[in-house]
Amino acid sequence: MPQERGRTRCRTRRRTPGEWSAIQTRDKAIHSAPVDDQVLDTVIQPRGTVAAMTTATPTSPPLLATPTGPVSGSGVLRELRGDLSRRPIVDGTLAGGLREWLEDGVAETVGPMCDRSCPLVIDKRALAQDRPATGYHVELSIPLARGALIDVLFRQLVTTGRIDQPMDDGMAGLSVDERQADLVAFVNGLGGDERSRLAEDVSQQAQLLVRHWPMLAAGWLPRTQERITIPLSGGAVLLSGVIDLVVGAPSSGRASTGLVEVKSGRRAPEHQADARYYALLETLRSGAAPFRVATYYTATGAIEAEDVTEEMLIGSVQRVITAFGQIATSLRLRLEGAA
Amino acid sequence: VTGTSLSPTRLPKAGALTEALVAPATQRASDTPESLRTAVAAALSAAGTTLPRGAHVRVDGYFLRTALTRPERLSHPDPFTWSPRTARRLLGLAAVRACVGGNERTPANAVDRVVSSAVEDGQRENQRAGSLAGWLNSLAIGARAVVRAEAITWATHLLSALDWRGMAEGPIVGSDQWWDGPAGCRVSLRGRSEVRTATLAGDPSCDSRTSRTPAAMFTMLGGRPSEVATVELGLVALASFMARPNEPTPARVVGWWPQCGRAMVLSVDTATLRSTTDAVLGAIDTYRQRAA
Repeated sequence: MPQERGRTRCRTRRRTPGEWSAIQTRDKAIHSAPVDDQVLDTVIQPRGTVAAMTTATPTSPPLLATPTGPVSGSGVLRELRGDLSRRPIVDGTLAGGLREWLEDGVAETVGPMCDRSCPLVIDKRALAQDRPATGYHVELSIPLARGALIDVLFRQLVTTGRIDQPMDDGMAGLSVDERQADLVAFVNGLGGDERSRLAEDVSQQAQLLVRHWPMLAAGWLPRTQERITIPLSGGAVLLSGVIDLVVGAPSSGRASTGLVEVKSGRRAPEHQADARYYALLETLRSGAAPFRVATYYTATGAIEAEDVTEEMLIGSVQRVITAFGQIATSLRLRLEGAA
Repeated sequence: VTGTSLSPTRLPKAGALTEALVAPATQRASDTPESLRTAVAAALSAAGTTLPRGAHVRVDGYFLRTALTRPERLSHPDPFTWSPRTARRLLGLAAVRACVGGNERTPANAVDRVVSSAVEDGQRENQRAGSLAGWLNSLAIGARAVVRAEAITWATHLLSALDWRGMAEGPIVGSDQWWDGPAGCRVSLRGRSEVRTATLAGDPSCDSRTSRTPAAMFTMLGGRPSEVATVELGLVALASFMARPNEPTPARVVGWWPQCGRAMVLSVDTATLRSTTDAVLGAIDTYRQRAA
């Protein structure tokens, strides 16, 4: 339905007073609509010191400002849920409009340079560094190893509810994945002091995780390391991402999924942009925007969460298109240099 | 492209996919399926005779895709090893079966039960070498957690891909089809499908020789549709057609790529089966040339 997609795209760029009025009417309907299909309102299973949490209602109090220190398990759940009354009805044309916009952006910038047999892969790293994810060697480092170990341990905690020996469990988790062979070899090759410091760091963060991350009810359908690949321009460009945690069933008409990105390092401005990029990927994949995205910091136990809005997704589209242009320029320079 | 895609914006997707899967068959099945079956068997058997001495080809989706898109890889196939990615489908199917059957409520609980049971099996000494149970039993806690997590994600994708109540008869979860050919045939077919179900009754002119409605298959694939996705779906239909001579020709195959949210519906008719057979023969010939 290209006409509908086009209309969505136009509306997201310029709105006439009449359109604003229609949107306000729609929003009013959303706020007064009964919240009866909230997948996340299932029983929360407390673990350890995490107190059982009552089910949020549409009259939940406004969320507090994002805390910078450790957040309790119930606080994490509250941040993941957000304000239930604000979960929007899905705009069925939004995803199509965003996709059309991206397709145009690809065609205008990098499209002509692309080879469909060797697609240009755009992931969060590529967006941050303005270069494609393919054709570049990722420098192995201790922060990278720490991040990979924490990702595996977070996955283990969500799946099994426990972490026994952080470094051993983490290395076992990495070793079973053939794609992590280089990283495993890197960690195994570290000197005694470096490896001890890494193990200590990982252990501390794992303790914080166990203490503060809540056990999610199985009814939330938590799934980890959710891989999304969005082909554009007939597969010449791939938007790619691996989301650490997705909760909630696919949408039946109202926003129903939440995304969590786990970070083992310090807060950085691009983390919010990464989470928003994942919201865009999920919207393009499922046809429905998630209701919430969050970044969880395992070093501090802090969480940053926000509602997903149309404006946020538009911002992500613009970021991706801008990155397309910069990547295209750098590729062109490389090709000219090689010639 | 024979296949058609569903609207990417229609919600809920599970409802749309299920409707597409079980819709009444619209195409007329082959008037002479027996003669077509005989012709396909003869062609595949003949292709087998061209293979190097002692060689046997199992044509599955991976083989077909590799032969048609990256034939150079046929010479150096990756040896099979268990990993979270290779184990997730087996574990995930068992978990989905438990959920659909009402024995478990969520993928996480079901996978936990399936893996625990497999580990117990693996602790018995009579496990054959290289079994999934034995492998799971050999893993450390952290590694087993990754396997479980992969299986949960996979099972959640399959469970939430379909509206299970929208299928009239009990769907078969995990319905791979094998065709080994007549005695001495050195080519076998394997069609991988996650779900097999009956289509709704519709046009009575569609294969009215039996009281059963044609089957439809649902297959969930990784990544994004390749340029030979139609042929891959066609192989699922061809294997079923060959392996189940006493059943009506399948109505369709629905392919679902959850990683990118794309779906493809392949209606099955004589032309589809013939073109898929041609593609299989082409792949076998490519393999023969590489092996020579």
